[in-house]
Amino acid sequence: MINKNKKNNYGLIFIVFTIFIPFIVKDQYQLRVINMVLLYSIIALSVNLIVGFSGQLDFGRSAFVGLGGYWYAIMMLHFHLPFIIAFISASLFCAFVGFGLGMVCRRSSFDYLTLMTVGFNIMCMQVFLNWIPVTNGALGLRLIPSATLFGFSFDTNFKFFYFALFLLIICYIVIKRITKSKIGRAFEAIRDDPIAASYSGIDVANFKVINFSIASFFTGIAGAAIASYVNFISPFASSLDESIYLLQMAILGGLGSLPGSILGAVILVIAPEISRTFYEYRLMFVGFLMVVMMLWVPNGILGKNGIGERVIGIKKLYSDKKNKQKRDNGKRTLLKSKNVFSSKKENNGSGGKKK
Amino acid sequence: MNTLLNVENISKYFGGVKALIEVSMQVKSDEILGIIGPNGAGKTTLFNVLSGFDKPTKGRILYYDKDITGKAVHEICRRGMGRTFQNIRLFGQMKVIDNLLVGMHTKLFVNFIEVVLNSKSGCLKENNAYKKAHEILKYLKINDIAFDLASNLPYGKQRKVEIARALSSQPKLLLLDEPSAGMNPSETEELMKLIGGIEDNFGAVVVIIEHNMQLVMGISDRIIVLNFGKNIAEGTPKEIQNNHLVIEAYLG
Repeated sequence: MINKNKKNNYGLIFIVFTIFIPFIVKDQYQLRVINMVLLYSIIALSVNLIVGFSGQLDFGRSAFVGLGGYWYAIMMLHFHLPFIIAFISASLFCAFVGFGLGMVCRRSSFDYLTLMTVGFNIMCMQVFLNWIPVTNGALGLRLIPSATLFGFSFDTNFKFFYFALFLLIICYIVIKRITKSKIGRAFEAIRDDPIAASYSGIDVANFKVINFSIASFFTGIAGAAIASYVNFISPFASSLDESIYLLQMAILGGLGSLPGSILGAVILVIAPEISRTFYEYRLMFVGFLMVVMMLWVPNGILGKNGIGERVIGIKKLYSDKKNKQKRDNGKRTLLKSKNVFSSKKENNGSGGKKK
Repeated sequence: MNTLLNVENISKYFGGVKALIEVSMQVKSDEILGIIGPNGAGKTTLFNVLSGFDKPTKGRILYYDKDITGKAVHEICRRGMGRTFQNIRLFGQMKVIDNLLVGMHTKLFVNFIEVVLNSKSGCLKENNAYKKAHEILKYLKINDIAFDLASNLPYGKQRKVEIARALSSQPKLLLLDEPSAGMNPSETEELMKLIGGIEDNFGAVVVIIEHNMQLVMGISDRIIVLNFGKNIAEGTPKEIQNNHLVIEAYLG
């Protein structure tokens, strides 16, 4: 039941801890990685909204990262718009493109929708690569202005951390509310059984479009934020490899679990940064991780029947065992007395009475 | 007694297979209508056509005197028609209570802004929906499993949850497709009582497809018999039991 007065203590504790991170982590490189984790968390959340909640396998997420980033870069570099307008228009543009993509594949079923998103991703990357007057081709766009709000520029890692954290918290809360609401339930219903969903009065095709629009909005926000942070965007940020990588964040963390998406982003952004040689093998590492995971925790670390739930399950089992033992002891005494009653003829019922 | 649903000469062909041939029937308010027939008689196809899942090849369907032929499933659902399935279709990864709340989708008017702002009015509506869902679960005596995952439930309870979900959309017409399949006799008897009380408690007219003759003869006010896609008999349970066409259809 949704209770307005209920406070989420875990979330508050988490936020309080993260607020002090920039004071503890002095190394600029490490702080940079942490900032990227925050931004990729938003993308992983949006992927989760499509793959985990609505059950559509989307291979086109990195295209939206690119679209958001390029839109932001072009608005800032060519049109010199204020930051806030460029930033919000980038996410709205992505939501619009997501709406379009959703309209195209609203009637197609699972596998065909996946292929369509693959096609869309490749198409977007080719546009970024070859539309040289606007996107500067394979060289990418450089010197993209940093985020500035009311004259305050988030140009250092330290300052940007708070901007990214603020964005993540807002996005997390909004996505959480959506998933807990009627809309989120409709997404889950479509994932579990589209036919039964339509028999509950849900317009399945339209909800797919809504789902794509909302998720693309958040991907676009993250894309624009990344472009403003790195000050650079290249077409290779929206390759198919990158899409798979984003997808793996959501799957690793746990489909249908929002904290899981953040965990997935933490693992998959930090792991390749541990060593640069490792970076070369990141897809191999992630691929291996996927194979191992699908065998033991197919729904991700924090997903259904994942590691998190299993730990709780073991605890429960342990307490259940204790309770059961108590109950068994009770049963045994009952059985004993019954046995005594059944052997009444020999004992003349005296045993039962003693009990 | 006014007519709720008026089916006029419905035919449904799947290529060369004639699933329904010129079936006409009426559902009146204040009654429980049973539909029986041997396997492959077209009973489920009739439900599919009525609820908009399949478009009829010929004929038309009037619901509250409005033509609903060829309308989409969710539109017909919005007009107040609920349905359960022969092979259970629950939202397995969701809790039972959430299954019911999905069923209330059309009756829960929460807009996007209310959702994002988590406003008080939105929460109130959600809480009301919760209360209603609990009432339905209580009526079907399954309120103890409200927070279990639907896929973890035993078969008989899944059937009940499906009926509960269909009821939660507050239908005026409820189509039940073999609700007692896979239930033991005592469960069936309990179900019979529950179905008999749906009309009084929820104001929904029940149309029921059933193979369990005891159940269907016991609760139906009127029975329609289908055989090879044709409507071969119609009448009260007694008349049907003595109808030679029906006996022929069942015994060959």
